[in-house]
Amino acid sequence: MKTWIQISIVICTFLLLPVQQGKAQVHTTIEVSASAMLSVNIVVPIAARETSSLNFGRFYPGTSGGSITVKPNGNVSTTAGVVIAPSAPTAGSFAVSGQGDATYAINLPKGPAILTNLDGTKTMEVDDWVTIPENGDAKVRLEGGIQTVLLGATLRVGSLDENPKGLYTGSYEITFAYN
Amino acid sequence: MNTSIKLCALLFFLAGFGVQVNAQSTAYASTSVVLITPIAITKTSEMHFGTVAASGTQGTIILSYNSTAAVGTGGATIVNAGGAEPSAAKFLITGRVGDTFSIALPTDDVILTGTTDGMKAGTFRASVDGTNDVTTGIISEGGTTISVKGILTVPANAIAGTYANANQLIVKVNYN
Repeated sequence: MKTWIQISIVICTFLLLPVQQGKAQVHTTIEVSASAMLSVNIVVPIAARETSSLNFGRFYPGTSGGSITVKPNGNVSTTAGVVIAPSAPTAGSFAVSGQGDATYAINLPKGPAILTNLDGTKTMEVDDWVTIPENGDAKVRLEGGIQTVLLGATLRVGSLDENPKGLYTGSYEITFAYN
Repeated sequence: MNTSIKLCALLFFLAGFGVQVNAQSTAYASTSVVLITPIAITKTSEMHFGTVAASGTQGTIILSYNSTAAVGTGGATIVNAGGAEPSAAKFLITGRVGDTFSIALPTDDVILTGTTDGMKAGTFRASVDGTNDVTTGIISEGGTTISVKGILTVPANAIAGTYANANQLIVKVNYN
């Protein structure tokens, strides 16, 4: 019995030695990763071309002048003494194309367009721009990727002295932009 | 009794002999390993810059953490055509709750390829729990979500089509 006690003490001494010495802990973790796809849909730019000019036709201004309104649907009306002569006023028309069902804004002229006669001495103004489809909340849907936009406006005509007969021309800017 | 004395003497002798032979100072060290819940990352949302129209001028599209796209510079235009909405990439990080972790994003541009030329995406940044532009986070109960944003460069006159890169937006995480 005593023999075994002695042996046990010796063996235990050897077994305990390593434990009583310094300690070290190593924390090893492994980096992990994941990946994601990146993508974008590129669509064709929006484009527009004029297919019909805004034309107020031929008229007689009368003694006091007045106005001529061409609506987007082509209907024409006048005020005061303006008398329409046999002619064919036309609304402006644009072919707009781009990504189907995209929304876009129609940006009308911010002010009146100025029409000037051939010798540059007399002018008239065009304002009250309006379109079909209406610009509404500035989001027109480009159904099917191509659309006709019709434009109407009102021409302000002076008296015969202010606007003698002749051809008056001018330009305006209308833009179409995705939004 | 004699047998036990001899055995003990032999053991002590061997012990002493061992020390003398090794000569060098011998240190006993214990090695322990602490097993912890491994960190893991799972993609939960791809990165999509939305629908964009190019123009004659190069432009950039900035994708935000909240999955909105905005025009940065130049001639790119965001198009609302009812298709896939813009989306920031998202990843779920799981592991030991309360531990901090590091986030590593691509530092180089990633090329998206389409039917013709490619285009670059870069300037990737991460947001964790509403804190933007960070490189570390803390694992919370149920996991922590990382949102990743970036900037896309749209070349001038880019041809219409889908441009993509399947797997190079790589996000690496590790315990700090």
